[in-house]
Amino acid sequence: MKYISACLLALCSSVSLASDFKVSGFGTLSAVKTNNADVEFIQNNRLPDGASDDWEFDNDTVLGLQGQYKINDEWSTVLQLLSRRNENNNFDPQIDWAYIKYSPKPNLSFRLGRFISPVFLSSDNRNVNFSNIWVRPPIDIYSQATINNIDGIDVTYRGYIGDFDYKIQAYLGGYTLDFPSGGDIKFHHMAGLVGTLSYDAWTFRLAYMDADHSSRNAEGIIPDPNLFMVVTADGLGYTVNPDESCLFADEGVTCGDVITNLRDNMDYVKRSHRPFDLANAAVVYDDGKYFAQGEFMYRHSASVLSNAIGAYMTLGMRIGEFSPYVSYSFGKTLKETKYFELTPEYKAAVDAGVEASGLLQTDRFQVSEYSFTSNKQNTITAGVRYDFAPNMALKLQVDKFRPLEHDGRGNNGSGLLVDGPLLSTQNRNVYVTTVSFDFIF
Amino acid sequence: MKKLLLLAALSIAVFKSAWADIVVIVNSSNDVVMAKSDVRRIYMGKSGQFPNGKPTKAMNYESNNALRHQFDKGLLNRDPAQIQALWAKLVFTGQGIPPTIAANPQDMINFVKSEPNAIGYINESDVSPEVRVVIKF
Repeated sequence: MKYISACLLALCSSVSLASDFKVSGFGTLSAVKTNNADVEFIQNNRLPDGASDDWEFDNDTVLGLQGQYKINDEWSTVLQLLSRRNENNNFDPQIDWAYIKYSPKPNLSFRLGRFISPVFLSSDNRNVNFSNIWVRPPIDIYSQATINNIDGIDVTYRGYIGDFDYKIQAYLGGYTLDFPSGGDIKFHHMAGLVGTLSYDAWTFRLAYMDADHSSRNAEGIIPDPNLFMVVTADGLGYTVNPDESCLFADEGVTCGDVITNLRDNMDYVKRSHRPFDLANAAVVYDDGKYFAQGEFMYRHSASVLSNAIGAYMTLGMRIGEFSPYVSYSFGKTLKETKYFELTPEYKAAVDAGVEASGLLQTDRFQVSEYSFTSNKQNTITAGVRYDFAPNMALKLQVDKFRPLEHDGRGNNGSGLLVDGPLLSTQNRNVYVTTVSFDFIF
Repeated sequence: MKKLLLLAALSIAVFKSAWADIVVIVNSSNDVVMAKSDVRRIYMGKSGQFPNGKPTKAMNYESNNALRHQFDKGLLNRDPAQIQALWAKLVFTGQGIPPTIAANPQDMINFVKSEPNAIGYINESDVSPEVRVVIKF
């Protein structure tokens, strides 16, 4: 009997050792198509191509594998590998989460390593589609910040006062995000604060991230683009570059000599150490039967990537295993107007030249608005989630994208790639249909 | 007649188990006082500690288990599928480790009686003196 107990104890301890290491995972198999052969849908703007009017399976399809090792009650580590189509057009697994966590108390934890900057409500679980109602988080908001990971540290504190639960998270770090062109966006620093308060069926969340970013080409540098200085009321003007001679100036005088803020404007346009500040407010109601979720976001990026706002509201209900939902979302850039300042004598000279040519004069010389992205679009979504088996769900979702305005360097807005004229000029809606199978294990 | 009586007894048993109260149990050495909201916090991943500050080691049943269904619906006011979705978010964003899974109530009782910081739940009819009941609903 003693031997048996000893055996059982040994067995128990080996089991408990094994239970400290856990492998789990999640995935989605999805099929997507649009209603138009010329319009491709892309799940995120790092994808080189998307799905047009044939079913494609590589937009939302994703597989994540997580290994979690609990060293003791205070220390644990997590490694999460993620395989989804990336900027290189393959499914090579990437390290999405890799950190060591220290929890001196059950309600206080510190992490060091790679995690996801939780700029929006569903940023950090945006690949775990099983945990969300939609087939993917709303594009109009979530594409405004193609932020994935952050390498850094964070601290989370949880607590409650009466029936109010709260959670505060602060993080600090940086990251370099690669794009299909070979270029990247370098986030020099990212510092954020997230506060969540929940009461009964309600959850409120406020998040702010202060960040600094540069957009670099494949060689890792930020080339100077040509800027266009508008000097007449009907949009005529000069191409200007800080190091090159200026058409309206004397021989050997560069534009940088006569336009006093040309360098500032150049840095503004070309995204050299520009801000990438994100403010986000979210509210969730879920009483088990009815649910509503809304988010608003503001991006201060003050560069060729214009400032922007976006919002959505999702409403739904649960009828047994079925959860139908509808959503409305919009995204919109808020372009800033920038002006060139000339030395007084050259301002006078250019004004005199415009007057002499009989063209309409303008008070200030604007940086051509075509230097900045401009997007405006909205989306109406309807879908249903079917929880047909434990840890598995099937979803069907139809999105009606309405591109309203895309000028200048703007493309066709978030989520869509177009072969041909801009969608907004065609006054056309785009329907995207998605069927997906989500699972966790 | 015997058969009929047996049938009646069986149907009463079925009736009882379908309507039996659930009790939330902790280790007999744990003198914590808990409200329903404290239990909700633990099973919905909002807290990893008892009201007295001790860390919890929670245990649950598989999402297709009848007792789990009754617990999720009755106390958490959610379907097990919704609770699974909630935990999927927490697990894969590093915000929590879900309760370990018990194969059956006896498994749950064994865990709770051997682990000082354990918390679990069983049918009231399965309560043994080796565990302490903190809530009944």
